[in-house]
Amino acid sequence: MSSSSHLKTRVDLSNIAPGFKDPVLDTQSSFRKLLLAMSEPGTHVDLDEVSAPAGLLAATAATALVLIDYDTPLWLSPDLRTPSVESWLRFHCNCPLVEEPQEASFAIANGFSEGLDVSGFNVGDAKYPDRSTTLILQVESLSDGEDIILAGPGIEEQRSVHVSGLPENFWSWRHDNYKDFQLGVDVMLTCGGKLLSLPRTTRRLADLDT
Amino acid sequence: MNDMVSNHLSAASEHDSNIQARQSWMATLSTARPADVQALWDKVPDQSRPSTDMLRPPETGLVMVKGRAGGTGSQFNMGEMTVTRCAVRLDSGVVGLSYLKGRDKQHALIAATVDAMMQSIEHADLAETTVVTPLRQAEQTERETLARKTEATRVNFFTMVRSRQDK
Repeated sequence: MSSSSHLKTRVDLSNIAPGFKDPVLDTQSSFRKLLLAMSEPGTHVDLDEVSAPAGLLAATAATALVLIDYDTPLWLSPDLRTPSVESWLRFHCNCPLVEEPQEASFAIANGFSEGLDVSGFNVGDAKYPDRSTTLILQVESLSDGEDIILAGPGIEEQRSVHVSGLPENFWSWRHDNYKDFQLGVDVMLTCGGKLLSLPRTTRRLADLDT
Repeated sequence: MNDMVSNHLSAASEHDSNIQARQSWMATLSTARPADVQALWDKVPDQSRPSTDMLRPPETGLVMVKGRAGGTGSQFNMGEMTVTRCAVRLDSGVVGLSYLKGRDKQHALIAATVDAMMQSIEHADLAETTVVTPLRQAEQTERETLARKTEATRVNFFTMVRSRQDK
């Protein structure tokens, strides 16, 4: 029926959490933090001003509010395609949700997402390597877990980070991701209100010689 | 079976008429003069105003107005328009929205709050009698005055059609 198909496209607003309290200033300060995180890979930044919908972490939600809009197709991992996440993103970011990872400017997934294939994202093209997908990966912890030593642009010598809850094939994929530089996917890891980034230029010390 | 169909249909038409009613008061609220809206809102006693959660604080932006040549032709961008919008939520979960032209944030906030009140059973009467009905009346009076003034200065143009065969 026409009325039911109409209802299907409506966003249920009765349970949506508000976005930034002060949209202009909060967006600016959060953008500044994201800039810091991207230019100094492995650095923790605090993005905890937003009350996120069930399924998203505070830092993921804040990043979405800053970076995602009607111009940036978003891919969500299947376990995040819940009404609470979808309607929150549609109300606050107004972004198109795409089925194909290849079409996405941004992607949000959980590290534990079953069958997550990180290799399916868009790596950009030779003319516009900046058009690749940015993957926001929600992980269990950014303070415990595997000790990883990072190196690359933005890191003076090396920087050590602790991450747990990454997908199984994450580091082998990262290694492949670097082979086609300057093409590649940039990654942001979030946990609670914390975020750190792994741009395509950042590599594990262990991978440097190979 | 027939009952089910007719029930479904009446539910659908009730749904449509709810939408129409809401469109009507939202249009009234958004096209009214900001000063009128503020004056009427001030008459709502403080203790009767519902507490609201700001889902989207009033914000001003641009909206591309699109048109079609002759109403049916191909789409073109007519121009950008300044629009202020707001979304509030009452404790009961009812959400009020407003989109209006211009940059009056207070107007957008009141319009969204009244929209939410109109949808909730406990506040609808108050909102209707204090704000919406007076605005509708003012709108009606203004339209009538304008129509009267226009009517009073109407000039009837006519064209004499002449054709050779008529001679």
